[in-house]
Amino acid sequence: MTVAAKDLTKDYKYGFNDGDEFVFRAQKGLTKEVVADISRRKQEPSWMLEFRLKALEHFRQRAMPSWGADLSGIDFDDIYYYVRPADEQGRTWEDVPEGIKKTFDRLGIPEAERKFLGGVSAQYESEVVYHSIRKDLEKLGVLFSDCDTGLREHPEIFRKYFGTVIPANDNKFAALNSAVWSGGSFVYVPKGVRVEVPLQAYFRINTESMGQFERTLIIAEEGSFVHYIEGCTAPTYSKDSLHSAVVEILAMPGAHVRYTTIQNWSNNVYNLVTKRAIARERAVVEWIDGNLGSKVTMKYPSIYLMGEGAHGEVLSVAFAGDGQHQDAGAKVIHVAPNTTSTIVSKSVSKGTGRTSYRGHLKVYPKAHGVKSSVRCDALLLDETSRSDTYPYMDVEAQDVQIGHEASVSKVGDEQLFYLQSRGITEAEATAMIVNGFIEPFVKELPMEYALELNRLIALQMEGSVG
Amino acid sequence: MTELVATGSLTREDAPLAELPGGEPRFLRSLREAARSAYREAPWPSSSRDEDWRRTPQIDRLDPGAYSLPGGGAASAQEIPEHLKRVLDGPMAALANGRTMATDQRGNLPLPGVGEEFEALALRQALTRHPEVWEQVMGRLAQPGLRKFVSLNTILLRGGAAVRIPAGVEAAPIRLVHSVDQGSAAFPRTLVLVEEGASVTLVEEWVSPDDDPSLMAPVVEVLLRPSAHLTHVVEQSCGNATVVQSTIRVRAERDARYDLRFLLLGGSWQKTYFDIDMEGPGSEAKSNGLCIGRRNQHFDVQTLQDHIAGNAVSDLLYRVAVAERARSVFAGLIRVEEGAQKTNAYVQNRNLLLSREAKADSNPTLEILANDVRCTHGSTAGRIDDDQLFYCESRGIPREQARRLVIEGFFADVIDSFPEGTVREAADSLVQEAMEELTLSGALVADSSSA
Repeated sequence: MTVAAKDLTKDYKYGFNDGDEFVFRAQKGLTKEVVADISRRKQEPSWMLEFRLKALEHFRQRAMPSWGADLSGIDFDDIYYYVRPADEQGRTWEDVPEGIKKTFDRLGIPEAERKFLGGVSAQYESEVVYHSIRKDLEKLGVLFSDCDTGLREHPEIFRKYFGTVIPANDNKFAALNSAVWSGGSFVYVPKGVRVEVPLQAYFRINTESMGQFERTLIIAEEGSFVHYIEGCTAPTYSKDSLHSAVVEILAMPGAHVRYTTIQNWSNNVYNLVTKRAIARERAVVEWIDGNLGSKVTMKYPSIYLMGEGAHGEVLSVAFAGDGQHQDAGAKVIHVAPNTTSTIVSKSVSKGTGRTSYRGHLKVYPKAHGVKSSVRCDALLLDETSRSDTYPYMDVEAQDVQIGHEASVSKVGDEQLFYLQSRGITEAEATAMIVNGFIEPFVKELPMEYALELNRLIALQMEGSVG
Repeated sequence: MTELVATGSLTREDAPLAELPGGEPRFLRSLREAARSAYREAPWPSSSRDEDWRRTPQIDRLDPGAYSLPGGGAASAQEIPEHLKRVLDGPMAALANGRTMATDQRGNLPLPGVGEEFEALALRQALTRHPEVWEQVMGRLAQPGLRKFVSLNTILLRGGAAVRIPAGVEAAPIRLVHSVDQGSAAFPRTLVLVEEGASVTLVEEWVSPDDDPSLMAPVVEVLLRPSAHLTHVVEQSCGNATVVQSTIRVRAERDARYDLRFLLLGGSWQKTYFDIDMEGPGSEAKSNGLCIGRRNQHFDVQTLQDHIAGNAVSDLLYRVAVAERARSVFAGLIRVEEGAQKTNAYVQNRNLLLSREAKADSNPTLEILANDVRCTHGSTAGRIDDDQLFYCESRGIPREQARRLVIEGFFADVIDSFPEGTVREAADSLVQEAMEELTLSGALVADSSSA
């Protein structure tokens, strides 16, 4: 049974390696010079350099987290903090270098574009190399670019919001990202505009021992709607890689932002991500968060409900195979009255995999009329699998309705028997039950992603019954 | 009054080794020494550093040296303090300031059936008479260095009770009252050994007078042999200036059954651990407890259901009502060890918030290392349901009384789970007393929810 996941690594679908074809690569390790060099090469304004240097200080001062997953395998001195694969940003598909194009072809990006899926912004290593946006979005005044472009071309909007949701000193890894960030997406949706097609970007890591520190900033003005999709796949390498992203979302009054991620880093990546949204009056923020890959993930998408009537939703799935630890969860902070939130977490542990739900629900004293429900379900497939649930709940208001429920169980024998008695093999039956278990998550995904997720689950489930 | 030993050397860093009046077996001496080095080594708990103490910053200000340590030999019946006399009726054994009192010459506690059906002895006599028996219990469940206050209890304990029910015996209920005087610290130790197939109900009460600060820090160790059954009632109704620090550790062997019923009502603040090791297959543990927090009381309850063996069942229900500026902190861990298949475990924590300033933190957690299990937990927080109030009011019941009815209804299933008869009646009257206090303070009148 344990052999299955090793095979999985070997046959990892996206685990190809096109060979390094970078134009510039900063030296390994993290120093002031490296940070200054990144900023200089990007020709950033001086405030950004100061921001980065200050963040570097924070990063150095902060201790490693003593809780959560085991991070002792990270060597900060053995990481490239900046790699730029090609000189220019590709204007059209033809301009994109052949080697990189090949990588994207295997990920199906052009098809995605042909399907009119809005702007496609693919991040290959640290810089966005290809980026397009549909003309009609541009006409609506929607800005969708990589973050570096956002800083260059829209400095007034960028500076106003950048680092306001997640300050550089928020935590050690947010500080690291703030010091060396590169790439990521910048999305601005003007007042009242509804972006009907999802905006999507693919992120990839391709250079051994290379950290990827993308930074995403999404601003949805009053009454607007946007759905942003981030999907991650990474080639498999023998040495550990570090991915530490920061995602900031601002949902202005009445805005609706949905952020969908399917993370499928190869099984040697440390994925330590800070994601946070601020929801103003009547705004809605939804995190749809899937964690399948990586060696260790620590990710707790959070929503600060700052305005009356705001609503937050976190729907997440974690799948941990052999040797993986998915320490994921959600945080919802009810600051304003009459705010509501729902958290649904589904996790599956297989082989020696470990999933942990780590949540935090906080209700401030003046936040009356709060309603919140937290539901965590875990499925354990093997004797060696592990599942933990750590939901924290701080309630400081009286007029609230807070509910939390969690359950851990294995695949039901009756369910298996039922399916097998109808001629389905045990392996198929188990996969069906797992798919059914995560169905509430899958049905929130756009079709292509739902299909991809089902494929990935099927891949993970191969050989799970021995 | 009792003679006091010098307290100068009890600090956050070190504590003077005590000795049982009249001598003690060697194993206890080594437990104390181990506890002392653990106490010296471990830093004082910190709300900013220790996960266990994160929500209880009171610990940062607690100075154990501020309390006096009672010394001398076994207390005599004449020394029974006034506040304790109030609760002394019927067969029971009392322990004042951690020392056993009112035993016969042989050290028997004044309980019916003692010496015939079972043994209930002052700690010293028990350890002298059967050191080999109690060595299997004492310090084995609550290891000397387990927690700072377990270390402290091990170093400083000067008395306690040891109860042993022989195999197959169905013993009469036993009642132990632990009290602590003004300005003092008490470190009583209770050892319980229920042999194969035996059963008993043990009621432990923790009491102290109002207004003057004191520290009540008991440690209880319970070993249940195969098919043994203990109904354990714990009632904390200390005075309003008492700090309570307690650890109760239970080990249930094959097919043993442990029923815990607890009331947390008094004290200024409390940190309490209930740990249950489900060590044998087929063992079963059911815990039901309630807490009524008033004024600025603070109750921090941490529970552990540790499933070491498979095929065991554990259930915990904890209901809390917090009024005025009171705060409840709950952390309940279900841990299923590797190989503990067919485990069925449940935790439920329900919190009723009766004022705007009251707070409830709930943190039920699961750590599951086996796969064929059914483990669930639930947690809720909310105020009194308007519909229920409306229902009562529409039937002519005044709001204040309606609120009280709803709260009583909220607690009913916990109280109903107490052993029938005098035990339940006593528990109910303690709860009624707290409810009365709540009513008199006006906490049920102020309709803060519609403000």
